[in-house]
Amino acid sequence: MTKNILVVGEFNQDGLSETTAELLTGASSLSSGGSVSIVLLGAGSQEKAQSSFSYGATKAYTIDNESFSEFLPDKWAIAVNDIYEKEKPDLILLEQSTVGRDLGPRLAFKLNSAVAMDCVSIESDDAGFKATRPCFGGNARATYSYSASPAVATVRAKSFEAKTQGNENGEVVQIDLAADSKVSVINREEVATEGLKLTDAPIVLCGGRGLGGPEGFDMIQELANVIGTDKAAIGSSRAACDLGWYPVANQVGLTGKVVNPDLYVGIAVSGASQHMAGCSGSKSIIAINKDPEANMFKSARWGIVGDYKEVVPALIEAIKSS
Amino acid sequence: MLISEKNHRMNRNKEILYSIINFLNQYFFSFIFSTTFILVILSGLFLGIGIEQSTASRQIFFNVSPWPIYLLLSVLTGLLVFGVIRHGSLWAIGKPFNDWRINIPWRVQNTVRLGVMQDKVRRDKFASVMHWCISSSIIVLTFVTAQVAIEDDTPLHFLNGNYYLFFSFYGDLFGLIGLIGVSMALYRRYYDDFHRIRWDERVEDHLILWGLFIILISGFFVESYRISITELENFPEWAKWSFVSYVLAQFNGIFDFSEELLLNMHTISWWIHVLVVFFWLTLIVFTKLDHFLFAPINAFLLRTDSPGRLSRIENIEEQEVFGVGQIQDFNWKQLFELDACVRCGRCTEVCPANLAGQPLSPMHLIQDLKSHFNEVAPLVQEAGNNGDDVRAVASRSMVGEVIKEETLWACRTCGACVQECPVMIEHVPSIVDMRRFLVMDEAKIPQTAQAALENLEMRGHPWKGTALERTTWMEGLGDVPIFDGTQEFLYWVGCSGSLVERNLPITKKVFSLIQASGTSFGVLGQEETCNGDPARRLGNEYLYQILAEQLIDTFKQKNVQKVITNCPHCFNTFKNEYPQFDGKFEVLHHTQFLEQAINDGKLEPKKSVDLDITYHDSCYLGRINNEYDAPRNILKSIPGLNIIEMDRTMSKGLCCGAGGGNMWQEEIGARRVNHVRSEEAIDTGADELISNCPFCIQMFEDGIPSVEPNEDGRIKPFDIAEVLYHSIDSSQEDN
Amino acid sequence: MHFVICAKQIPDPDTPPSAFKIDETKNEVVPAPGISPVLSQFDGIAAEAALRIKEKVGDVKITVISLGKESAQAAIKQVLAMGADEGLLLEDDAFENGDHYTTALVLSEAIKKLGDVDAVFCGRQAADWDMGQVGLGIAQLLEMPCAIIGKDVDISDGKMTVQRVLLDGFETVEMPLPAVVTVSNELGEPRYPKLQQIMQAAKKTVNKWSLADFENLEATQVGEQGRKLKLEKLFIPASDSEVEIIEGESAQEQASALVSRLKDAKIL
Repeated sequence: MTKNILVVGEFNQDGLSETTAELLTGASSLSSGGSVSIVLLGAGSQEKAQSSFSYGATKAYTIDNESFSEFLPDKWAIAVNDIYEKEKPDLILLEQSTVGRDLGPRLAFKLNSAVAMDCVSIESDDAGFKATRPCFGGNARATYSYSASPAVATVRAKSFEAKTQGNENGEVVQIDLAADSKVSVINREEVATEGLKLTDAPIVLCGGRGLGGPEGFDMIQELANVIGTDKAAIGSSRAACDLGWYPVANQVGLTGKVVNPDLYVGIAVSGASQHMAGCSGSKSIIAINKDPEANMFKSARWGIVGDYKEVVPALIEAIKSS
Repeated sequence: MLISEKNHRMNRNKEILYSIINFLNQYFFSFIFSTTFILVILSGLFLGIGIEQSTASRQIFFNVSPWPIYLLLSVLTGLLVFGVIRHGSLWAIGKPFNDWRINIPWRVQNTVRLGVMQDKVRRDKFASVMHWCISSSIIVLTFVTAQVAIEDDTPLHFLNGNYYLFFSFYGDLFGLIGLIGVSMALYRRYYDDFHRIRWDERVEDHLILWGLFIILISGFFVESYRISITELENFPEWAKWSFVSYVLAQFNGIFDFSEELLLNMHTISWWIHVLVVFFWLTLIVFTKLDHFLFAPINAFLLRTDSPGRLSRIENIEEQEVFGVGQIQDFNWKQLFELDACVRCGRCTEVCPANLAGQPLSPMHLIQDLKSHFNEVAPLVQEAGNNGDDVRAVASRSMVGEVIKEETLWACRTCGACVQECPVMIEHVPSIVDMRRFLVMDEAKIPQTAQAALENLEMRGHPWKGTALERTTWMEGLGDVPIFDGTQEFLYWVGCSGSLVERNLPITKKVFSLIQASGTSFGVLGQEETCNGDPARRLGNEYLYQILAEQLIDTFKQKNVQKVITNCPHCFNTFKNEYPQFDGKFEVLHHTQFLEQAINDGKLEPKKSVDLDITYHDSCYLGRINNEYDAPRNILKSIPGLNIIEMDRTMSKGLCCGAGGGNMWQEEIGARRVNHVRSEEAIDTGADELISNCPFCIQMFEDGIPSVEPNEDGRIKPFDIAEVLYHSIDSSQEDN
Repeated sequence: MHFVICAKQIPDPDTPPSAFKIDETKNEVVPAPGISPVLSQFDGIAAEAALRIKEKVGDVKITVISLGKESAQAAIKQVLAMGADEGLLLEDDAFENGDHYTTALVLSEAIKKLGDVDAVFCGRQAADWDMGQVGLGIAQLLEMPCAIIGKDVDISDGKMTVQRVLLDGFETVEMPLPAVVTVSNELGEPRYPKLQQIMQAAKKTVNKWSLADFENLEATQVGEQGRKLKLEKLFIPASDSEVEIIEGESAQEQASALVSRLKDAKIL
């Protein structure tokens, strides 16, 4: 059975976001030959729409308009709702991002339907869609089916693999729409991350409460410098952020960032399930902890039981000399 | 206000001085004390029997008129009465304190032992000799003066014959002893490299000391002039009995003073002597000199139950104020104590928080409360009399402004200050009373401690986020008997024993040792909940009472009679605090049980453990529950083990830093207490640091690597049960 | 003003992983022995946000609402102890086993029935299902503006100002009342209640509304029957990795062994 899918895309100056590309690829396999359309909002959306076709979109709805450049969830919900009415898709996919987690539920409730948040996999069969997502702080997974239409899901980064489909052409539909938001943004500040973004880094070094103080992060910074700041970025557990040892913007976990690097190093992080929910997608995990029973060892590929104050300097030396 | 202790190393000369003092301290008291009493008895004998009557006597007040003395005496008495009434009426703003009516014989004993015999003063050897010299001299010389007054102004006449000679002798002897004491005091106040008495030095300290010096010196001069005039020529044999003044009189002779001059000098020195005496005595009313009345009284008021027991708030749900938020919320004994403080600094010198440069000095806490009391108490009294709101009179909040919150939170409740206080002030209960106010009335509590308390409420243990279950430690131990009322002992594992990774091996080993001793016992497993100790020490008495009452119910339902605890804090709570809630059980700490099992031959440490170890007394087993021997006896029973004591040990042992709920707090200050104590352990050069408390072990696991980053040969912390297990378990290979 | 705090009682998220069990036949979490359910931590923070405003503004009534079983009274009492004025439990067999849609529906009807509500405070997500959509759902159903994941909330001149946590920064938004806000842990820990308040809360009666109290709701719209999202399967993901603990005499040895492993795996 073919299915029509609408992806709510995100982009920046450089082009479509990686996750949007993943969603398009995933959508085209879930659609079983149905239509995959994308909606892109804001100035420059028409231009960016072109690249969506190579990932499997067949139609792109754009509101190439400065007034939609700023993400205002209630305003965007009106726009996506309008496009839903035109396209009547069976499934609406969003990124689990600042946009998706705000827009997803609004859309679902607007459409009198249901949304599954932060999904890690979506399947499709004749009965409809099944969405699987972590819950209970990462301890469990739940698979849902929808008894309302359209199905809405926000999807975690790297849940699908982005692949170009060899198709370069599609229809761009420019929508003209005016909508108001009851919410006005007074101020927005981006926390500038020096160098590499946490979510893009192939190696993430994460410090936890066990560091015993903010000075532990200095040691981790040294390790990152030795590995190379083009490869390694530093994260922090929620406990360490709450204690004010490291900026909240670098928090990894259920309520912070979800990272999926090649290598994740948990340094004095106990690895509560809420934390692991933010890093369990990593290809390899190293746990460094004094406590041999620390939860992180359970998900780790390699572990060192020891005081980080000894292990980290030793690692720095070992990497320098290798 | 923050005082960091200088690590003062004594030089060689000082070592010699201190060894003399040490010697004196050991033998001096029996000497002085028996001498004083023998003198009194001998006086009686001389007086009554009059062995070998001689005609020796003197003309009392031969040169001066005694009337000013009686005028001054009545003024002084008036002042003293006024002082006592004034103080007394201010103490009365406090809450009732009725405990003094119970255990009177014990209280009388305390008054004699701690008040008169000055047992606590003796904990500082120099001060002990100094203070005994001064205090015995004051007592004897007062006795001497009283006899002079009786001889002169009553029909009784006894200062004649041999007794007169003897009287002259001991008067001079104690004058000299007094001067020795005063010299020691002067040395320490002005020359010695000695800190604590100068942490809060005031004018009165100098006045008291110099006043006493002038009194003693002028006394000798008065006597020397009298001797020069009346005895030296006519009765030289009599004069020799006043051996100090006799020597001085010889100097008068050298200068060949005219009799008129001598008479004038006698008059002048007599007046100086008398006026300074009365000036000095009035200091009792206005200065710390009041301690010679208040210290024995405070010894009488001292608790007769365990220092590990905090007071129970009765009918807590009906209280208007929880804990102590204002000065009048203290009971009158707590207010009385403030006046007893002599600012000697002993409490602050041993306070673990202060040693680590953290914001608590028990002496300053008491002094700050005292000045607040002096400022506010009259206003409270007045408002009370006028029917105004007594809670509105203080311009500064006592808890928060006068005493900072961080000061209260820095306390480990280790009891070192209480232990050392020579005037028997109990700082810890007052500190916890103020914590109670912060937590229950104002809901102000450090974040991490709050998390521990919330965890207690929600999950029945303070270890937020633990990945362990109460039964995790049982893995690999085969069948663990669950207590069902038929066994003799309940083995109480405790939250730390089951939910903190490091303590699991200890719990397993204590379990195996109890099992090996063939004792009938069981555990509660999943049914254990916190007994409330952290809640109580952190000031949440309400939560403590809920937890305690629940657990006492469980114990009673299960017919628990005897309990072995892993943790000295659980031990203290069950033993000393549960009886307040009608929970009376026989409680043993695991070291006590194991010592008994070894004595009974049920456990036999055979395997040699060739290690140098040092033993850390946990506060709640050692100082607070007075159990220093059981653990040491276990260690002594292990072949090969060599114990090296730390400088601070037994009752002077230093806290690991975790007590009083500080296990769950971020420390504020220059250093961490566990680093200070870890250094002391490292300094012994021992291989292992043995303790008996899960908190201590955790603090050392953290502290030792922080102060000694080099892993090679670094001292390692273990529980005593781990060492014993090693010596008993024959199946284990040496490792 | 009248604020509503939505509070949920959930299985203790601090349950040790070894004690976390699922009955896969019923698709239910098996309550761990000796571990009581707790107030979802973000809801406590939502209460903190509301109370901070009440302290500043003064004349505010705060009603705490929970949809759940009788045991959820404990969660309500906890928020009452923190300083909320009234408690309301929405309890009915018909409400049970609902999804996020039915939850938001019943809560929004209750808020409508209360009448004069100026602001609704929710946690950013409940720490059991971690969905984070009920707050938004209530806003959508009541047609109120909504800001999610706030770290600072303020109300003045009929407007709510929310400082929000974004993945890569912060944002301050303003919206007219009545409005819904969901708050995050960055706001700070919920206050520790004063004993006086705990005892007062214990004495307060919690109002209860059942399905019959809602004229607009049918049994088919709520609870299990009203679900739009069907739970097909609840399971504990198999952990695939077997950890290799790098042993060594010293930290140096362990470190170089680890580095050579990383080189072999072409990670470094």
